[in-house]
Amino acid sequence: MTKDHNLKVILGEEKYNQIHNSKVLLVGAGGIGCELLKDLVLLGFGEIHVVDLDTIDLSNLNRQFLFRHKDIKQPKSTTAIKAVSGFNFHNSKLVPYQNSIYETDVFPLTWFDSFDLIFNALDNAEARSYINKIGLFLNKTILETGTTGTKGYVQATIPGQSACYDCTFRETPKTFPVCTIRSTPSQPVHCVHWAKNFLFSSLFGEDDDSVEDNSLEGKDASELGTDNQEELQALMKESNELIELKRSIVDESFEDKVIEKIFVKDIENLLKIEELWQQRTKPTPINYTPEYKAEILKITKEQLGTGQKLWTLEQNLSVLISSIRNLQARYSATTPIEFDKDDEDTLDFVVASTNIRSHIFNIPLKSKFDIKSIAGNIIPAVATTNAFIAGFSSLLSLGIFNNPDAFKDTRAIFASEAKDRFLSSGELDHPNPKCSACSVTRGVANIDLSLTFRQLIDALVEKYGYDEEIALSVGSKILYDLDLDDNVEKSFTELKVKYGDHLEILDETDVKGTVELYIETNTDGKITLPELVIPDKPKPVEEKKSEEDEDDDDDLEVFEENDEDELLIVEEKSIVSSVGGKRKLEDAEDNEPKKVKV
Amino acid sequence: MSNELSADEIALYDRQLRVWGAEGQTHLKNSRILLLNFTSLGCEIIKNLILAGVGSVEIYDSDTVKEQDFSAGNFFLSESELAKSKVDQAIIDRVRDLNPRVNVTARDEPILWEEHKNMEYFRRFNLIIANNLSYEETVKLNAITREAGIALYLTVNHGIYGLAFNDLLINVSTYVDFKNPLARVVGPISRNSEIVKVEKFYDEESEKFKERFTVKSQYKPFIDTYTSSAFANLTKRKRKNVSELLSLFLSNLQTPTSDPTELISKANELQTKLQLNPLSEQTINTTVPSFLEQQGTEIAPVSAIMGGALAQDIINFISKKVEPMDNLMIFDGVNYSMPVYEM
Ligand SMILES: [Zn+2]
Repeated sequence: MTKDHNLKVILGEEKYNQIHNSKVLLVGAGGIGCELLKDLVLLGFGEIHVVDLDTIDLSNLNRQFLFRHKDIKQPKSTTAIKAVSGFNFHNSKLVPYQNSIYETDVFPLTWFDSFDLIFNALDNAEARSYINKIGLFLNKTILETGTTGTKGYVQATIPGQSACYDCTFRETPKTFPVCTIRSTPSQPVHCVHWAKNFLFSSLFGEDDDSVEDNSLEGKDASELGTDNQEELQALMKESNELIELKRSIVDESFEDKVIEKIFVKDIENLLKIEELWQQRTKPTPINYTPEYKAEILKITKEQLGTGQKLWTLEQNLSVLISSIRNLQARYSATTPIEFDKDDEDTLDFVVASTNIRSHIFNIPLKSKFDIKSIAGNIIPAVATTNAFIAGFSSLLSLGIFNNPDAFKDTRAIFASEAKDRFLSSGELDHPNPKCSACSVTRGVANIDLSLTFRQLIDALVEKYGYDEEIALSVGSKILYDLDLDDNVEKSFTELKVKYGDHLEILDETDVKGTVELYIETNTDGKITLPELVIPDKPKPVEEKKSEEDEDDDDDLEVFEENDEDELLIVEEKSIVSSVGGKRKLEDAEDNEPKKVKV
Repeated sequence: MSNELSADEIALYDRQLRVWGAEGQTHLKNSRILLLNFTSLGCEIIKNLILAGVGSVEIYDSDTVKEQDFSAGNFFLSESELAKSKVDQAIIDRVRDLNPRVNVTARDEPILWEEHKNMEYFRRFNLIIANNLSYEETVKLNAITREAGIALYLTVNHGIYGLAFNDLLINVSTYVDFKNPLARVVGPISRNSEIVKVEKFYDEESEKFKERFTVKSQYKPFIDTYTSSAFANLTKRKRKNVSELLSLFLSNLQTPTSDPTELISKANELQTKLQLNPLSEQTINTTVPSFLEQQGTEIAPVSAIMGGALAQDIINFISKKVEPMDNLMIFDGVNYSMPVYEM
């Protein structure tokens, strides 16, 4: 029998040849990406391009099976391609890119257009939305995937037929009122937030950096969570003293000054505000004496173990002191230190100060292992779910490829934890008419960037019949509207509009629907606008509540792999990012993107 | 047995420890796995278990690498091993390279299934995964695993169709879950399982009530699936929904054939015995021909899906964190379904 026997029997000669002559894009070579690349190569896809900016970390190796210990710090894209070349039995052409997918000079729209199919294997909502828009501009099908622990999903987005990635609203992370973080914490997560985003960044971050979340300026009473003037005064004073304290960062006594201020004096000051403690248990400042410190310094590394067990207050203090010493040695005003869960000194500082604060406020302490998860926003990830989801992504692609009935034939797949099945599936949703991505009319404009906005507006009016009441924006920046007509005589270059930007045109008379143009550029003094049929803006109608689908309860909680060092907090689950969580757009209270004028 | 893992293990396994914890990881570390037949599906299951950090894996295959293996989806093979043993040193080195902490060994000398000659050999393992055995081998192996107290996972696959079966003997494990609206009570919960203990407690961390409950499941031997009364009391609609691939797989395993008429007649006999409806027109006209045409073939996506699902199920069983399946799964790559039947 021949080498391609299995493929020919299962796929059939025709499909086998189509696959063999196809060109596909794989965005992401992480957990799902490694698995997908393996599947696509083994299926014999003709040409596979793989984009990933990332390099390999130790904690990837439990699932990103194309990588080995010796590959740590190497680029994922090139390493993955080298690894699969050992079993590239059907001679797929493999092309790696160690770039960000947003780089429009490397990845212009025409480049995306050269692929038959796009496979998403991404770990964040922003990149998914970006690829989603590319798919909408080009009318190209995307196979979208995501996993968290043993949960996961695959589904196709087929422009014009199915719902797109942005048709479902994703919850934004919950934030805590400033006073909960700064003066009245009641959960470990409050203390982690304080230790990482307030204390650590105040002491070791950039001078005016990051503390904004926790500063009092420009916030209303609901964001502050208090209108107690005494409390606000105390917090203000606390912050100012911290800035003062930072000046002595080079002093040998810095560690004592930090501990005495943060865990003794600041707490004593809070205790003076009696109103705060009428309904709450009072915090207890620690008793930090030279004798006590001498005992603390006797604690050895061996006694601290590997961070799976809880540390005592004294052990936390010893970790705090040694991490402060290490960070002091590394610190310089020109190169501030950023928190990174994989940077032991920063993690130790955050773990120890979290626990000392928890102790003071009678909150349960947590192990280093657990605090790392909260502070580093670690998403659980296993090889099995990624293999399962990537397997389905490649299997579904076979059914979608060259199939005019793909929308009807394909299914959305969710890994299931139910006892009687390993998956649940459903037909693809129809597009959401309120979607901010796929309800928009799209096209490609070609513009000489030395021309002015005035020339574009004239061209738009002539081509599409707008009157002059339009607003133009790129991303969250409004570049032109009736209140901002100063910009009309400025050139695109002056307004920093560049190749690959998505220019949004809003009809402020509310007649025409929204249009978004992908900007390509020329130097011939021309503006070429696409032929578009712009539908009228839909009139607001009363929505009927649709009934919940009883069978698909699994798809309500799908998150994703995400390695970013952001503290994302969602109600009820302290360690998950809900970026991939699904919720119908109708339920969103305010889904209008916020824009700023420039 | 200590649950404390080394700092290196914690760093390497960080993301999965967030799923099954240090205790689950220690159970995995203490497990000894035997894989019988290094198929594409076997390759996927074993890849996932090695990445997860099981203690040891022995891969058995007495066959040689054939041309067509390069389209089946076993990515540990390379073309230079054509005509060599399927567990050739170079291939096993590649498997071992996935996770040097796992002790990987190989065997290519045929296994004697007769009587108890091999008991000592099998007793070295606590879980066996067997791919594409014959009916006779399956029955003999299952008798061995029952006598030796070894957990067993069986798989059979034909192209985009697959079947998996597990016999975990008597499995007693304690799980923790949020309290359901209906409290769990001691007593039977399904054909083969009962709750033997429940306690409610308040979880400080989630600020919710949870239940700690012990489930005792009495698994059945493979041979019992042919006479199971699992479908006897189903509603009409549910009976109709039972995948007919179940009978195709089971009857074709017992009486292998490439003749559609024979397969249909054998499968219909089994449908009757299992108190199911006769095979549908759809199955007879579409599924049977492609099932027979795809006999003995495998492709990567199916191996990845079934291998992912089964490896996770094995991890659930070994780590004692989540209830494993009980006891027969069908993979249907046409309708994208993966039901589990408690036979
Ligand atoms: Zn949409």
